Amino acid sequence: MRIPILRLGEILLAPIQSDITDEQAMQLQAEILKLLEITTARGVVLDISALDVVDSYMARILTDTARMARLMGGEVVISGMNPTVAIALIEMGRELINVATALNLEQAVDALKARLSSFDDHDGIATGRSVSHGG
Amino acid sequence: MAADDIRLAIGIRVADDIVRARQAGRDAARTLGFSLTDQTRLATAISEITRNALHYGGGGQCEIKGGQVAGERLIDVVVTDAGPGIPDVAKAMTPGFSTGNSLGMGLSGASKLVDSLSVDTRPGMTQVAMRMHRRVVG
Amino acid sequence: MKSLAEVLRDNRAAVLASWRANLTASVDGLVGSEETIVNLYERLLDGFSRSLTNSLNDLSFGPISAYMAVLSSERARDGFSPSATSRLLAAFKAAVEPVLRAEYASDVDRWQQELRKVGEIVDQLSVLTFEAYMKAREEVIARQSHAMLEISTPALRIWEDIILMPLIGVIDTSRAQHVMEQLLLAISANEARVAILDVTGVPIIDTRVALHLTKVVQAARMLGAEIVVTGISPEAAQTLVRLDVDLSSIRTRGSLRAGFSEALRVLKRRVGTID
Repeated sequence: MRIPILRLGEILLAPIQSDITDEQAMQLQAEILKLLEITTARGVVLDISALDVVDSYMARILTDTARMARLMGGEVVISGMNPTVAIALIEMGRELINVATALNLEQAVDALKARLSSFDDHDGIATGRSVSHGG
Repeated sequence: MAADDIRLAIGIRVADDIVRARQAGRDAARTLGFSLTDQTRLATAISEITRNALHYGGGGQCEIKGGQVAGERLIDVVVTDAGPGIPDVAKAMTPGFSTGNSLGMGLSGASKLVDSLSVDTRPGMTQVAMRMHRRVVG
Repeated sequence: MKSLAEVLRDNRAAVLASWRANLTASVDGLVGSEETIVNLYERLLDGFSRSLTNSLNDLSFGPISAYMAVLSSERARDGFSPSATSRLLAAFKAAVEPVLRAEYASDVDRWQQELRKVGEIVDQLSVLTFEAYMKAREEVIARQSHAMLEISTPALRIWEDIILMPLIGVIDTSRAQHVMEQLLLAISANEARVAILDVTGVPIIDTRVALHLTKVVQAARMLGAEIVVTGISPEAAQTLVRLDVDLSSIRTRGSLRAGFSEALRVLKRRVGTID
């Protein structure tokens, strides 16, 4: 089973629908990075609301993906973390550090849009952006 | 000893089995009436330990036993592998200790999620036993 | 010569009568209803007639042990003391003694032996009574503290996207866990982007409480929510700084009012008067 990655303009949506294996998580990471490379997408929403377990391995993959995306000029927002998952991570001393989060997919998309447009302001680039980013 | 209301064993041979084991742990905890948070704690701990068994021990088995005894609900998880053993358990239990691909975290993390965790290890066999118990509040 | 069980069976009426008399003589006759006494007698008799040892662990004493345990826990739940239950046993022993003395008058050794047997079993039952009583009380206490935890952490939705949880009382580790759980569940259920945690009613804010607060804030951030801690008193501020506790990563405010303003600021909202 592959995790579908949807593209919505500059934003990639990866709704993780069920508990996934280590391999699927690694595969998802690779595909997201690949899409950041070959498309004009710059923002990524990883929706984990359906994940009822995030162990230290999965937490590592999530933070790594965010850091890797940032190196490529992208932004990752993790949305919908289950409260009990957050508790287990905190208790293990494995909180996600320096990762943007949102309560749900909608807020994640809003946050990303705001973030991406503020980057453009800094860059002095207007809203039309396909030229500067190729793809 | 726990009444064996629940008793099952899952072979840990491929990465899929980690998912199966942790979901079986969650189901067992739910059946016995553990809270949502405890279900997640247990599933997460099982995930950590079975991954260790797969990556370091070359695979093994995860046994889950549970029941309700004398006003307490109780669940025991024993993960066994036939790997090389953990050379330094104390070190492996140190938070932040990791070898290789950031894996070895498992033990210390899991131990914080369950009420007790013990490790029996030697070359050829490693067994991690975890227990979670809650008083039944009526 | 008759066995102990046979003596008890043959003198049933006499022993029961004297047992009853002993009870009315004692201050607290409440526990010894006729039904209770008869039930106990049947089970004791059954135990003595089948047992091979003087230990309550002997399987034949199972029914009497279970009966006493239930009796004792019921009394604990009703708020009575355990001493009446053990007086009930003492009264039985006192009622049996003269009967045994008469029966075994010709054999002092046998008399002593059977008397000891009754004594040992009664003593062990007394211990069991107290244990069952303690256990039942502990259950009552656990249930009460569980109920208190539930009452003590309400999460109120006070504005669009804002919830408030006022904390009152000492925050120990188990309470801190409960607070974290309830707050995160409320954030998730209300999709609250800001949660105000008011600690005005928490008497002591020390290193340990600060650590718990930090954890709650980290956990909430993983969900996508911000926490504003309000009600840090001057004393708490002094303590935290003297203890060298760094809460700079947390949004803290002195008053609930200032905390609410901060929450609105986080949400980029403003409340004003309508002209």
